[in-house]
Amino acid sequence: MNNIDIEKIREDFPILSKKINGNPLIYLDNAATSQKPSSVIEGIKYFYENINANPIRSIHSLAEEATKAYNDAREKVAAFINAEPEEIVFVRNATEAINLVSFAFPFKEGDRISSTYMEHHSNLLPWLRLKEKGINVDIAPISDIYELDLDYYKQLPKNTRLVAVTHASNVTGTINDVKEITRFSHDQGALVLIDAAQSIPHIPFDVKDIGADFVAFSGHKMLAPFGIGVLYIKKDIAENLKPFLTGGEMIKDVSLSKVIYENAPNLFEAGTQNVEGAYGLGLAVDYLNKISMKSIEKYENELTNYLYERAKELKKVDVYSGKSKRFGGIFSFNVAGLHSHDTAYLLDKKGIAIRSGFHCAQPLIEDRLKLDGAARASIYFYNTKEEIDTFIYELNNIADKYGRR
Amino acid sequence: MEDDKFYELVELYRNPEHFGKLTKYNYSEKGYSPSCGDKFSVYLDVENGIVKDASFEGKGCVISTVSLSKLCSFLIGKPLKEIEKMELKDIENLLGIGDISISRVKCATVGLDAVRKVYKEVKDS
Repeated sequence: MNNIDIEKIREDFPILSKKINGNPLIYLDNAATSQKPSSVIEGIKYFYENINANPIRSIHSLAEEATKAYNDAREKVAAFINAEPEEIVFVRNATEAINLVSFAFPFKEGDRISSTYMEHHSNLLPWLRLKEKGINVDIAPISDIYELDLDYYKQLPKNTRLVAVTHASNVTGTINDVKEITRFSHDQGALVLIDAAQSIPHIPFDVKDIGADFVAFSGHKMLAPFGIGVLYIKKDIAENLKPFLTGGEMIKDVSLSKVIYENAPNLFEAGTQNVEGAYGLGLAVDYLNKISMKSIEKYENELTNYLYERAKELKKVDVYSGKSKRFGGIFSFNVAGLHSHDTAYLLDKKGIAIRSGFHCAQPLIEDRLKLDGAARASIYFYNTKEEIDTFIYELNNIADKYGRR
Repeated sequence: MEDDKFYELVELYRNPEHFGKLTKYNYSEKGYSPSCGDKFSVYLDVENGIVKDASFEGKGCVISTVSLSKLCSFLIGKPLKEIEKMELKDIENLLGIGDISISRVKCATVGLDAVRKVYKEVKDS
């Protein structure tokens, strides 16, 4: 694992030297949110001490600096996923991005949307809500190794207008072949929305290569502050969409009898935006680029393989992730006979932070996996083999003491 | 919470008292703790304002399961009105722990909330 200077990287993340319950923090809840490097934390302070003003609106010098910072952030994010700046809409998070599409997309009664069984609620509930308007939602099934059946996308139900699919599952870790899904869906005249909240922080993402029409992701899972996220909208799609929120700076001309709206992305950014967040996201992208997404992917793959290799030693632990042909650094499990919350509680006493519960994917966990919750460890590039060793050691102790078949 | 105390609660969790649907009951309510995934039903047999019998079923963590079990034990034979003045502190006392963390409050109070709903129903009728 020498493609990454892990010691140097860990020094960039102040929180990683924190102690939790008397033990060094082992942060394995990265699929929930990532930690932030000093460059982002200090960058926010720098923004308020040097750049702060309301961008786009005011014309004084400071506002121009703020506008430039905001635009620069948009350009950085665009380049990061190989998009054009005008295709990047800043939102709060992936959830808001997907909700935006559910309001802006010109659905008609009788249209169909295709979601899947492995979605986070954020890529399911906005669509289910459209049922009230006479729009039908189909749920693509998943196989016993938690993969989508690509053949499903070769023969979508008639009138399918939009295919919504996650790039990487936050529970099973499955990485879907979104390029193929997009190709098949386009062949049948459906547009494609990809929930990339769990993939863009971890693997190189080229939106032009994938060809998707909408991509949603959150900044806070990729080193940026909370409250900033991204919706990518393909250039030629945007003009057919309706506005989402209306208000300041999303118009060209307003009278009481007629409103002429701005073009994307401004059309979808009503009101003063989270400028500090966008600036922070730009710095987060700088940091990821410095290490390179290719190196991050390689390192995380090695770490994930190491974790699954070590997990073979575990007895009285059931594992639900990592069964698909391609998967990311997600490890979902239960100690036999113990609720995931209690497992999380016991690991926390040793300083190990993991997630437990439904992971906002209740249909998957409850209906498909037939569980009342799962514990989940999720890695990022600042995690180490030594941390994995400690995690496996402590998990084994818990399983020994509390596990019951 | 000390390890021994937690172990003791896990033992109670594996074979909880008052688990299963009552054959005779006149009130039932559901309780949820969504982040945790807890889903319970509470069954109460109430006569002249007195809880004759109480039980629960469903799935959840150690904290929610044991607090529901202990709450049933506590309520049986008492006026349902007792629930009106009960709060988190009382559940902690029933569990014998004093340090429920913020993230577990919903687990601890899932039964309390359900029985409160029953009490409201009884009061309103």
